[in-house]
Amino acid sequence: MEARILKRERLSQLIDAFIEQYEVIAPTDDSSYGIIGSASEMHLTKAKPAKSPKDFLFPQREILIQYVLSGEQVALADPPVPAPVDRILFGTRPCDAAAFPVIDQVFGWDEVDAAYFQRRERTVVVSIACDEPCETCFCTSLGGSPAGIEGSDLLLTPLREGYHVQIITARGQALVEQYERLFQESDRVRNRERAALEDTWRDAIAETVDLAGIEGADFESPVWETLAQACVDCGICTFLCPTCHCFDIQDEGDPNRGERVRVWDACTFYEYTRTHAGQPRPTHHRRYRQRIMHKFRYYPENLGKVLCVGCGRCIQYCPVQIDLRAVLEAVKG
Amino acid sequence: MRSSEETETLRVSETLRVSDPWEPRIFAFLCNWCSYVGADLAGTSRLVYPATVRIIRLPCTGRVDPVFILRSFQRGADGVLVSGCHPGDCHYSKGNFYARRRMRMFRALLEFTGIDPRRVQMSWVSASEGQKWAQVVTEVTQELIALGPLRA
Amino acid sequence: MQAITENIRREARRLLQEEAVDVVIGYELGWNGVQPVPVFVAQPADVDKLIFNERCTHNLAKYLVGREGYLTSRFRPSEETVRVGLVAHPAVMRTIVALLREYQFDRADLTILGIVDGTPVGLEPDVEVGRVEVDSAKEEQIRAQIEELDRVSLAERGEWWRKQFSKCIRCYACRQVCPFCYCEQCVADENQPQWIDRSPSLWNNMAWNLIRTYHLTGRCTGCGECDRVCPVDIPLRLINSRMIAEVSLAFNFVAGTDPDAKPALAAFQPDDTAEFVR
Repeated sequence: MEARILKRERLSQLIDAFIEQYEVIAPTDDSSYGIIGSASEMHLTKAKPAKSPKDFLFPQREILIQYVLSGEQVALADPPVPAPVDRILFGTRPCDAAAFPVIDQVFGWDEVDAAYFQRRERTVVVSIACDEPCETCFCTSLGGSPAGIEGSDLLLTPLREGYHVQIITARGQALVEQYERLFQESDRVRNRERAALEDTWRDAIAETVDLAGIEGADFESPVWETLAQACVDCGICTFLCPTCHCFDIQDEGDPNRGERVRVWDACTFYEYTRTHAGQPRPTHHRRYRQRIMHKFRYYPENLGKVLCVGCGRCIQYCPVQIDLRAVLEAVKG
Repeated sequence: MRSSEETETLRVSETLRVSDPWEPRIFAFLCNWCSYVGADLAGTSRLVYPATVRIIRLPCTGRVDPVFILRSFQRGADGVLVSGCHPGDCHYSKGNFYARRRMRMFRALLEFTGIDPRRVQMSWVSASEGQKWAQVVTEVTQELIALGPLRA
Repeated sequence: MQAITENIRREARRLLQEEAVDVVIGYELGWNGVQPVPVFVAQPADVDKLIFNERCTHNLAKYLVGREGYLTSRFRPSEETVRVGLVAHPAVMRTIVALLREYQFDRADLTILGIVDGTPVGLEPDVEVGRVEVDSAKEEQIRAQIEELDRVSLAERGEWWRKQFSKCIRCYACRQVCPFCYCEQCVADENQPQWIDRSPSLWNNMAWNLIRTYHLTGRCTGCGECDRVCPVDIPLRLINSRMIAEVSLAFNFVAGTDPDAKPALAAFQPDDTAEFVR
C-alpha cells in the first residue's frame, strides 16, 4: 500500500491547512474531541480522550423535528441542520476508528439512518497509532491493533523521526494528494520500521482476552449474580463506549413550541427497559448481563460484528473499576 | 465546542410576546390563602402597577420547588417572585418557614454559579395587603429592568 | 494502613463466623493490583480479600440504600433481613449518621467497622479498626479554589460554570455513586411532568446539576466521590462544598456531625433571617 512521511514539525502546518478547507475535529482536552480553529487548540497526548468521537457521527443530542403551534395549526419543520460540511476527524485512535464499521451495521440495518451516513460520507478519518497503549487497552483481543487501519482513511504512525502516513482508502489518497507539498515519499526502510513498531506495541498490550467461546455465554449462568455486584448503574461505560448506540426520543418544549430530539440512552439505567407492563431487568445483575450478551452475542449473531473494539474506556472510567476483560473470561462458554 | 449540530432553541410561548420597549417577564408563585388574595385585592382596589407578573397559584409557598424556578427561566421568565403569608400566619402553619430556608439556599446556589440571585425574589403579602402587592411588583419590576433580560 | 487491613480482616472473619452479619462490604484490590474497588464478602474464607489504604475513597454507604440497597431493597423477600458489616472511613461515618437521621435503615442492622480521624461524628463505630489523619491539604485546596471563584465577577463565574456544565454528558455517575441520591425515582427521570429535560443541552445540564446540588443541600457529607467519578472532570466538589459552607453559615448545621440535629432544610426556626424577603 502507498505511504508517505510527514515530518513532525509539519504536523501543525498540515492541520492549519486542513482547517482552511474543512471542519476539523480533534482531541481538545483530556475528556473530549471538538471542532478546532487552529492546530494550537489540539490536545494530543499518549492517552485518548475520555469520550469517543462517536458524538460527531451519532450526536448525543439530535433534533429530529421542530413544531410550532399557532392557533389550531401545528407546523412541523425539519431541524435547522447546517449545510453538510466536509470534515476531517483527526487524532482518533485505531480502536475508535474501528468502531465506525461496527456501528455502520446497526445504523444501516432495517431503517437506514440517513443523517448518520451523510455525516459518515463527509468525514475523512485520520487516525494516529498508539505508541503507548494504556493499561486498560485490549484492542488486539478484538482483532484490532495499536496501529490498526480498520475504519480509518489515513493512519499516522509515529516513527523515530516523523510520522509514517499510511494511505488506506481512496478518500485518504485524495486528501494526501490535496496537500502533497507537505508530505514526502515513504521507503521500504520506514515501512519496515512502522511494521516493527506495530509489533512492539501489540506486545505491550498488558492483558489479552481469548474470546473463543464467548458466543456460548450462558444467559442462565449463576455467575452473573456476582459479576456486577459493585456496579452503580450509571451510564459511563455506555456513553464513553465508541460502539454503544442506544438512544431515546424525547419531546422537549412547551405547549406552543418545541422539538423532538434523539438522545443517548444506556441499558445500564434502571429506566431503560421500564415499561408500563413492568420492568424485566429490575436488578443491575440483569442489566449488566444484557449489556454483555448484547455486545458479545446478540449483535454478532444479528449483524456479524462484535460490539466492542477493546478501547478499555469502560474499565478505566468505571467508578468501581469493573474489568470487562475479567468478566469476559468468567462468562465464556 | 461540541458537535457542530448542537443547537438549542429558545422556547418561549408564543402567547408571551416580546414587548417593545422591553419589559421583564415575572413568573409569580403565590400562595392561595394570603398573597393570591392580596393580589386580587390590588385588582379590585383598581391599584395601578406594572403588568409584568404572570401569577401561578399554589396552596402554599412551601410547595415552591426550585425546579419551578429553573423551568420558569427556561420558558422565558426574566425573574421569579415567590410570595406567601407572613411567618407565623401560614395557613398550614409551617410551609413558609421551610420556603424561607429553601429560597435562601437556592439563591446562594444561583449566586455561586453565576445567575444573579436578584432574579429570584420573595415577599410576604397578606390577604389584606393589596397596596403592598402593588408596591412589591413595582419594586421587583424596577430591579429587573436594571438587570436586563435573562437571555441577552 | 497495614494494621487497619489486619484489623478489618480479623473483625470481618469474626463477624461472619459468628453469623453476626450476612455480608461485609469493604474494599479489595482491583484489576491492576493498585486501585481498590468495593467488595462484598459473604464467606469467612474470603476475608483476606479485604484491604484498606488511602485510595479507598468509595462511599460504601451507597450500597446500603436505594432501590437495590442491602438494607432497603424491596427486591428481597421481606422475611429476609440482611445484616451488613460496613468498612466505614471518616466520610462514610458522617454519611451513615446523616442517613440514619433520614430514617433510611435501622442502626441495629448495620455493624460499623469504623476508621476515624478524630473529628466529631456523634456515632460510635461498633468496632474501631483504624485511625487516619484528616486530609487538610485537600480541604485547603477546595477552599482555595472556591475563594478564587468568589473573587471574580458574577458574570465571569457564570461563564466559567456554563463551560463546566456544557461538558456534562448526563451519565448520572455523580448521582449513582452518591448515598444520598437514593430516591427510587429521581426527579430527572420524572416525565409526568418532566421538570428536567433529558437532552444534554447547556440549559438542561444546568438544571440537572443545580437541582442535584440543591437536593443535597444540608445533606451532603463531602465524600467527594461525585467529583472523582465524573468522566469529563466537572469540579463537583466545589459546588457541593460551597453549599455545605452556606448551610453551616446560615443555619449552624453540618450534616453528619450530630445524629440528633434535624437536617437544615427539613427544619426551621420561627426567627430565621432572610434579608432578601420584602
